[in-house]
Amino acid sequence: MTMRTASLVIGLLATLCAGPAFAGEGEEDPWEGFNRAMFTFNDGVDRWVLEPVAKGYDVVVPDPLERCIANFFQNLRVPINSVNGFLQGKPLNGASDLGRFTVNTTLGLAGFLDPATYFGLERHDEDFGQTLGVWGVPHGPYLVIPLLGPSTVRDTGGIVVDSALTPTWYFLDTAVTIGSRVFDTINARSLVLEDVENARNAAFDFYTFVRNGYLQRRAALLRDEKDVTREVDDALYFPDEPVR
Amino acid sequence: MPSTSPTSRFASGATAVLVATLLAAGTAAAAEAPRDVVRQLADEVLVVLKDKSLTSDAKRQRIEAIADRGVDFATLSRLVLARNLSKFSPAELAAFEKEFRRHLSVTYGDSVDSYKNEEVVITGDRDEARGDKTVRAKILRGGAGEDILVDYRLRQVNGEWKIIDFIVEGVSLVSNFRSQFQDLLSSKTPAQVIALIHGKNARGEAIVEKITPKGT
Repeated sequence: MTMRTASLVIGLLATLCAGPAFAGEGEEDPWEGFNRAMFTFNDGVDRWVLEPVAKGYDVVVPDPLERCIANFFQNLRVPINSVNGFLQGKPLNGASDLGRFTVNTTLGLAGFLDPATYFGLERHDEDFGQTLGVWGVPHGPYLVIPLLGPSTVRDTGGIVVDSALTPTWYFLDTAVTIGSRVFDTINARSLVLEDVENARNAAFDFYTFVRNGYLQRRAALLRDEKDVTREVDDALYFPDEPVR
Repeated sequence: MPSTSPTSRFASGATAVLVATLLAAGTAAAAEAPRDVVRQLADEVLVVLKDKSLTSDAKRQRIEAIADRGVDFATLSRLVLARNLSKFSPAELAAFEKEFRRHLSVTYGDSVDSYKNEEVVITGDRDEARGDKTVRAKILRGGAGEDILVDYRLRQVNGEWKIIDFIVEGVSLVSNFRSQFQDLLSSKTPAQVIALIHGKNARGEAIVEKITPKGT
């Protein structure tokens, strides 16, 4: 093995071992200027358009129905969860999600109800961004996408692949697909009216609040077990407190 | 020997019972495992939330009292400040701790009114570095939404287990606030940041009082 191939292998191994960088100090955000501008735009769209619409919708539509609609849209994404389960080398999860999709689409009346969870077929929240993570691709810089919100370079690639896997694009008219996506968004937003308001009140800097929350949550999803790793612990729970 | 008399037999029997009780109490206190601590706190909070005879204000006050016993706000504040801690004088640190605790109470206090029969189950615990413990719990929301996973990080302080962080669905409160204060303290002095929290608390309290006027 030449020096070059050796260093290539070592470099590759280092990337694989690096794993998810923890969201905390040194959150990777080299594009903060652009991101903050996009965040302000998205936040404005939410405050002035999405939130008022969702509030009105929430008045008209009863909560149980909102949850049924949310179930329906979530069920449409389960095949993607399944594919990604298989791609991540978790065939049992992938198969369980296929079972979940079958049960909820039939017994669950096209997915509006969720009998699968009752039968123990819980959803595995897997997407292609996580699949890339499992394959060793680092998450790269934080990125706020217009209208879609917080992401990273890796997760953006994931979104592109996952939407290519979404069957509706091939069967339905683009306008219908986008329309259903908008409806899904309004419905989902109406379910978290209070949570978002609480978050806005709790945050001192909403941008940093969302960035840190997003990165921590994605790292947790990638670990599956919502565990915090040992290295993270030390930085988080035993900061070197200087002697005063 | 009088030791065989019924009275002394009774006395020694009583002593044995007493000693046994004390020993049992002693081991119970020592074995007050972190997950029992969390279970106990969760139960106390649930009793308050379920009590329909209490006003929102009374509920908030009671839950605050429970939190003060269960959460080590001093450690939590220090962890949030982390390497910025050295910028704070002891007086500033005390003020920060007070305002930060108040902030958590003001912002999360509203949720006493949105209680929808959630229940808490302890799902496990885990040893952490340097003697810390994590207790894992699931908040069951019934039909009101998907269950929520919460990890409680505990540390033993003066022989008592106290909560030092809440990790909700993998998102640590300490990490989240640390990152916000990191940003703020890169451009502001500790005094300015304390004033900022104070102002936000005052506005938050004004809103809370508008929603639930005192004396109703």
